[in-house]
Amino acid sequence: MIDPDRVPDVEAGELLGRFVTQSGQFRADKTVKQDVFIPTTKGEVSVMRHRDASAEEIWKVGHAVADGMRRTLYGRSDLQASACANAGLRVDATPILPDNPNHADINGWPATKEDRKAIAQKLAVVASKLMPPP
Amino acid sequence: MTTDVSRSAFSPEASVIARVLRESGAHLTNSATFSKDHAYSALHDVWTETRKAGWDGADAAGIEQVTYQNARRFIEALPLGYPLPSAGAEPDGHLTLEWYLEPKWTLSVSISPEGTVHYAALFGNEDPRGSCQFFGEIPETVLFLIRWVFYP
Repeated sequence: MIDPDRVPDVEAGELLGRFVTQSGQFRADKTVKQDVFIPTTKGEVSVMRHRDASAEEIWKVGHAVADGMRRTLYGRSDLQASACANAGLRVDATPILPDNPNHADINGWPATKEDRKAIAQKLAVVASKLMPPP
Repeated sequence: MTTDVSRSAFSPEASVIARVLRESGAHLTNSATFSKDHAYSALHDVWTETRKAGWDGADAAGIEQVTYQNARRFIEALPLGYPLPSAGAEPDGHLTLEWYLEPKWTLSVSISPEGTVHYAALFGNEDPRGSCQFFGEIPETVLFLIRWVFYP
């Protein structure tokens, strides 16, 4: 995991993981829907940076997220940080200490709902298919 | 020229024809209702998962019953022969209906508690989007986009 005392800014080449905990967020072919990338009412999409994290550590955080919600962890979808920048968004490092220094938020969403949906659709296109937890 | 036999049937033969037409119409209606059961069930499952605030592990609004009813009415209002959507939810308390052919050829419709419909489609490099109000009949723009997903 990232050193909590020295959390770097998110770089374009970084891979970001989005945990999927709703059955309606992915399709039968395991592609993810735009719903996965629609921001919260605060205008954020929470993701986990892969940087310096092992697969085991990433899934450990995923399970902790799902357990905290009392939900099923259906899996994870990954996308490049550069995809967010290409869509006019930014990714801010927002470590949750001490447990998850790799936490980040996708911010900078447009004001109108349909514009947010259009961007979320494009992120879903370039995001990986749903990867089930091991 | 066509004749509405259900209104002008006086002979026994015409009465039989009128009855058959009525029954076949009812059969079609029942078939359509039956064929939408899977979509209703999926919508209800999503609503059950998202009724309580914070369902996303953050600050998501719980999906209100009126939103569920609006989304169900939206499915009910789909004309015969139209493909049925899958269902989802968004953190601002909207339910989503999606028509999908492939990742770059899809339509997502969000339905709010007030009956506002926000839609965004992706057709290759085109991304039409907008919003309108749902008063029980699906706006023609949305019907056009649904058709475009499957019959471009």
